[in-house]
Amino acid sequence: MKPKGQNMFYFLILLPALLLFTVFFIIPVVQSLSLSFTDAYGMRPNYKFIGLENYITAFKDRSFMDTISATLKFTITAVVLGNVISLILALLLDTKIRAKSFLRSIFFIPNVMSLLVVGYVWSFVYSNALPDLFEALHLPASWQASILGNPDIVIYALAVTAVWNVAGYYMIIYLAALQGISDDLIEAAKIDGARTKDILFKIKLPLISPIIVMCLILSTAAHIKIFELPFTMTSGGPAGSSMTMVLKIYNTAFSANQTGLATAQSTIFFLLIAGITLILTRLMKSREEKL
Amino acid sequence: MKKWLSALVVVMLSVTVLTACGGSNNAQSDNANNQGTDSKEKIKLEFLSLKQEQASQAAFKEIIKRFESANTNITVDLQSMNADQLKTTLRARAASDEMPDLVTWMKEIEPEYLLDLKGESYLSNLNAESIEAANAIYNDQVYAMPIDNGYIGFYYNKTVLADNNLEVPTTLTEMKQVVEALKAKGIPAFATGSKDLSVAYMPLIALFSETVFGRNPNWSAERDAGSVSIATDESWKLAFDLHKDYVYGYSDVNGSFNIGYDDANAMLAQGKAAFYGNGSWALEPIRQVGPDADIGLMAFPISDNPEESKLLVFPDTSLSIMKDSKNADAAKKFLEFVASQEAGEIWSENVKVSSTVNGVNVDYDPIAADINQYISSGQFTPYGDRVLRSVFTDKLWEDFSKYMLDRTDWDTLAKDLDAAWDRAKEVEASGQ
Repeated sequence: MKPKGQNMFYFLILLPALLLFTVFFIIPVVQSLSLSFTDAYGMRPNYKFIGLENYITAFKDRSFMDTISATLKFTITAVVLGNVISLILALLLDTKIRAKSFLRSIFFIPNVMSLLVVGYVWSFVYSNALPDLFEALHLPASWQASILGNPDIVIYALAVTAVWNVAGYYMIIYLAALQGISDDLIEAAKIDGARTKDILFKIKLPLISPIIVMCLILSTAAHIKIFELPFTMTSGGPAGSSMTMVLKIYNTAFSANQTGLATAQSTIFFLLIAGITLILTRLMKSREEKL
Repeated sequence: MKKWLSALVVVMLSVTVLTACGGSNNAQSDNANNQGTDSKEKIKLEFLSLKQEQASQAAFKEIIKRFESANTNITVDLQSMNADQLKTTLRARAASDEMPDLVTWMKEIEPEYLLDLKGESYLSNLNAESIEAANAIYNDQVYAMPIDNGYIGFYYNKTVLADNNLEVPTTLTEMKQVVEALKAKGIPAFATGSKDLSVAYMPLIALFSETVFGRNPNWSAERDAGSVSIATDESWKLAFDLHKDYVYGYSDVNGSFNIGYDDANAMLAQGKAAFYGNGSWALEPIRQVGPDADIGLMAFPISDNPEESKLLVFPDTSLSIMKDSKNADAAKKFLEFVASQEAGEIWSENVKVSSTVNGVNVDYDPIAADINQYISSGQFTPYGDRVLRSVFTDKLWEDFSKYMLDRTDWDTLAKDLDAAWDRAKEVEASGQ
């Protein structure tokens, strides 16, 4: 047991951070939560308590429930595709390939770009560059139709853009994990007759599996909050098919001015993220215990 | 010794800071007391504007320059931003009690933050009907000073029609014939830029203004009273159907979502499409692409009775003074200047719109003649989305492309819109 004076010392050291955390996080969250039980509207200075009405309205609103489906489609696609591509890139760079540093930089560059800029760039790619390319290649007219105008594929097109943006980041994490595997282990496996496939699936991937789960959690948390791409590329359309939860919350707060309802939607969104993160964390822990 | 020195430094610093704060407060209170008494006191007006177009910003800057040279003790700090940014800024400023002096009016700004301009002498320089229409959502107060009359209608390229031996359609049957003839020649009748959904949404505003409010100016009041509804009133369905079947249906459907605002403006100016539904703000960029393009403006023919075609003409850019402005007198001086013929001409020439200032008749574009014809014949309506509640317009905006792309049927859409209308009404009532 630590002496009392030492505990007080630690507490004093932590106090400034705790104060900042309280002022800039805890208090706003509590205020936001309390607003969700009111009829707060736009710039209106006064509002009153209305109980769970905003939550009932949110759950009754079909378009809000649709945003959950669009957000999950986007997140699952971006997380799975993003991690697979990042891992493949990391495995490629973990070989004796030439120009390794150059390629690593090239793959990482998209990650330093703001998502707003990425949105505008890819809007041009989908709306101008690709149709022109398809036309030059004399592909059928249906191929030249707008990708961002197709309600069935637009959300996946946004996910591809997100993958392009973040693949380099997760690649660096995977690469660091792969480089942490002892060469002796690989050499021993080779002497024992292990093929490349065996080394990959029976040694490398199991050894970096905690990192894979961590990247899955990180990328899920990042992608589920997507706002910039639908905001800049599609405005949530067409037909609401790329309306993500955060964009919907933004529209509720700033276009419809329903501040109370928007904070209720934010709380639902927070609970959804918390639930998914909890499941993934449990998954990671059980995985670690097995290892 | 060291402790004493530290304590002394702390005390000195505290005294210095507190003195500085006190000095500032005194200066502020002196400013407030002297407001309007010392004409040479330096005053800085903070003006937040949602007019982001190049021409509007240039016009405001020129007006401010002239105003400042005539009022050497006043400077105007213009800050331009989009509507969402303006709303966010005002909310934050309201919370910290640091409102700007002037803003471009928005219906989302609650009246308790605005200064009632009723009785100000300079308002008599402006068209009285425009002032009334700009303040239609208020009881008897004047919170918005309109400086121009905007419109949302359908631009058309006369050369495209003439080259294809087509007349300007005045009835729906004629419109059908014209768009079919253009389609047969592979020319998209409408420039519909769905890449930016707000561009595709504009024609719908023009259409429901005609079909709903053009036919029944009291529709909103009747809907609030429950005597009509969107589901049972054919006029709303007509607007959505005309938008889907004509404006989108006879556009470049395959490429519509690759066409943005600038592309759509260019399509009309360069004769790549015959019609283009948008507002007065689009004229200046259209003219940048085609300064000499032979362009007209029309209301969409909604039936076979040409008299039912009504152009949506409404007071657009309006200025307001914030109620808690510490420089209200100087802000009024600025509005007085904006309401002068000199400023009216600058605005009209640059922004290419008709001014609300009496006596300002700038020949800003040949289409002005078309607009005047609609106004003089009484074939116009002032009621567009501006008089509708935000909760309802947000739903309209959210759902219109679902109907346009056949992703929902009319019954479902109408039910959702009626529900949104009722909710908007409830939300408004809760604040009263």
